[in-house]
Amino acid sequence: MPVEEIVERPPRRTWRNYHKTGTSTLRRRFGLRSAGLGTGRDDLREGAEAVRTWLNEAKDAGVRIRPVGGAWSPSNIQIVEDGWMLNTRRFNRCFRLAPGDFADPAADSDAFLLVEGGIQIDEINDKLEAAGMDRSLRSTGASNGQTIAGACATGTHGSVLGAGGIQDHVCAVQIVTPGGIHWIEPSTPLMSDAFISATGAGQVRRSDEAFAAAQVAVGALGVVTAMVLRTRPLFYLQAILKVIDFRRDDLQLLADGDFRAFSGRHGLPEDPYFVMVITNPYKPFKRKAVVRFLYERTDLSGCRRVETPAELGAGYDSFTMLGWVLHNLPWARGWILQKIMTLAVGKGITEQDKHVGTWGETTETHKPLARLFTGALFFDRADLPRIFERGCAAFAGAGGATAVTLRFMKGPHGLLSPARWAETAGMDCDGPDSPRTRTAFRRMMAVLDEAGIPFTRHWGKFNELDAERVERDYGGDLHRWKRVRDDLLPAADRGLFRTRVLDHWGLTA
Amino acid sequence: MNIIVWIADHIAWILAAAALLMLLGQYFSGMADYYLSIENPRPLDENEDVITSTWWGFLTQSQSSYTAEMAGQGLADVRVFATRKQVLVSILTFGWKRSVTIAWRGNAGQHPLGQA
Repeated sequence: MPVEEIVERPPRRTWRNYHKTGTSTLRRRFGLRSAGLGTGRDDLREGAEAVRTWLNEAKDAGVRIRPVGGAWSPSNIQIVEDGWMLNTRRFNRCFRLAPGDFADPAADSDAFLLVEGGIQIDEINDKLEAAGMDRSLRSTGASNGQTIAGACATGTHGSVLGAGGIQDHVCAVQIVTPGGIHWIEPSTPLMSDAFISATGAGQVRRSDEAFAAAQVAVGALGVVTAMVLRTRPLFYLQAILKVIDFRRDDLQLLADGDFRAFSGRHGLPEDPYFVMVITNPYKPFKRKAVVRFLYERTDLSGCRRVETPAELGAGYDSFTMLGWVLHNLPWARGWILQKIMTLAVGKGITEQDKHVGTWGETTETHKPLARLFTGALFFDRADLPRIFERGCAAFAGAGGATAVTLRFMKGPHGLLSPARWAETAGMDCDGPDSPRTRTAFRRMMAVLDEAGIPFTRHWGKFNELDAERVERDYGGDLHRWKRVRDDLLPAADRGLFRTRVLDHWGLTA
Repeated sequence: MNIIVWIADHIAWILAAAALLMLLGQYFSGMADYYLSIENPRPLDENEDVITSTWWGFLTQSQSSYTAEMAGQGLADVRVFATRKQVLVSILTFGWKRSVTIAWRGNAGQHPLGQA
C-alpha cells in the first residue's frame, strides 16, 4: 500500500517542522511510499489513487490533512492542527520519459524528467547529473533538502540571473483532491493523453491559467504527487567567493542589471551566471561584504573539479552557530557579523583557483545545528538602492542579528510567485533566530511600507503575512488563483486543506 | 621572588579560580553538538530521545523507541548534544546525573532512475 500509517512507540502526538518554528498536534501520521520498481506511470497511478482514497477517508472522518515533505518552511505552512499528516518523503522516484509519452512525438524527451512529489532537490540533481543522463537543473535554492513539491509551493529561489524560482522548471503537475486526480499543463499540450491517463489522472486541464496557479500552489490546491521538469544539458560552473569592499556604486550596478561591470570589478570580466552578495546591515558601505560568483564553463582545461560542495562556496551559513553571541552582545553585533563573514570565507575561492563543478555541486544539504531565522523580501530590481539602504538601517537599528543577502532572478513564474517583477531582486535575512531579529525584520518591512515601496514576502519564510496583505500584494492574480482553486477544490472539499496559517493568509476562504 | 611569594599567599584563590574555569569549560563544551551523517542523506522527520545516566554512568537508561517508517533504510544522520539545562544538572550534581539528547533522522532511501 503506498499510503500507510506510521506506527511509533511511544505514539507521537506532536510533530515539529525542520526549523522547529511550529508544532502540529496530530491525530494520526501517515507515510506515502513509492510502490516499487515498476514503470513511472504505474507508480504514479498507484500512489495518486491511494492518496485520493486517503483524502476521502479524512473527509469522511471530518479531519484536516497536510502533506509534508522536507518540512522546511519556517512560515509554518506545513503545520496542521488536530489533523492527519502525510509524509511524502518516500514517494521519491524519478523517471526518464520516452518520445511516445509526449503529445508531440518529436519532442526532445531527454530534456524532461518525471519526478514524484516527495523527491528531494538533491536527489534530482544526483539523478540528472549522473553519467548517461548528463542533464542539470538551471537553478535551485542554496540548500537542497526540500522536496520538489514543497519548494515549488513556496516559490523557492536561487540567484541565477537568467532563471526564475524553482517552479520555473515545471512543465506539468499532477494534483490529487478528493474529487479526482488532475493533470495540469499549459494550453499547448505537453504529454500525450494516453500517458496522462496511464498515470491515473482522470481530469486533464490544459490551461495557462490553471498551470500558472499550480506552479506556486502554496499547499492549498491539493496534494501534488508528480511533476514533469524541463532540464538543460549538463554544464559546469567556476566559483569565486571573496570578501570585497561594497560601495554605493556597486549597489547601483546591481540595480541597473550591469552584472558584467560588477563582475569585472570584483570577479572576472565576463557575464556571470550567478551573483550573490552577503552584506553587513551595520554600516553596509563601510564594512566588508562577501560576494559569490558562478561562471558557466564548457572548456574545463586548467580547471580543477571540486570534491566537495564547500569548494564551490556552498553551505555558507556559519552564522547559525554563533546565534547566542550575537544575541547576548548587542553592542558588538556589527563587528561580530563582520568577523564571522570574513572568517567563514577564509582565503575564499579566487580566480586563480579555477574550481569548477556542476550545478548540483554548488548546493549543499543544510545541517540542523541551530535555530535559524530566515526571511526574504522580493521587489523590482530597480528599487534596490532605496530598499537596501532603508531596509538595512531599520533592521540594524532594531537589533537584527543576521547578514543581509542580495539575490537576483527572473519573474514571474506562477500567479502567486513572490518574484513578481520581470527583473526581481531578493533581500534575504538569514542567520541565528532570536526575538530581537524577528522584531527587526518586522521593523524593516514596516519602514518599506511607510516609504510606499512595493515588495512581496517569501511564502515559506518568516513573513507576517495576513489576508489583507496577500490581497494587496497579488490583487488580480490572487483572484485568478482562487478561481482555479475553486475549480479543483469545491467548497465541500476545501475544508480538508485548511490550516491556521493558510486561513490567516486568506487562501482557503 | 616576589611573584613566588604572591603565588604562595594566594594559592587557594588560584586553585579555586582554576577549578571554576574548568567547570566553565565543561559547561560550554558539554553543549557541543556532534553530528554524523551518511553520504547523500535523504532524511525523514527528526526524532529526539533523551538518555540519562545516573551514579556517574553506572546506571544508564536505554531507550526502546522505534519508528516503523524507518524499517529497512537505516539512519540518515545523528546528532548528540546536551542542552544548557542538561549540562547544568550534570555539573550541579557533581556528574551523578548526566543526560544527553540524541536527535536522529531515518533515511528515505534511494531508487534507481526508472522509465516512465
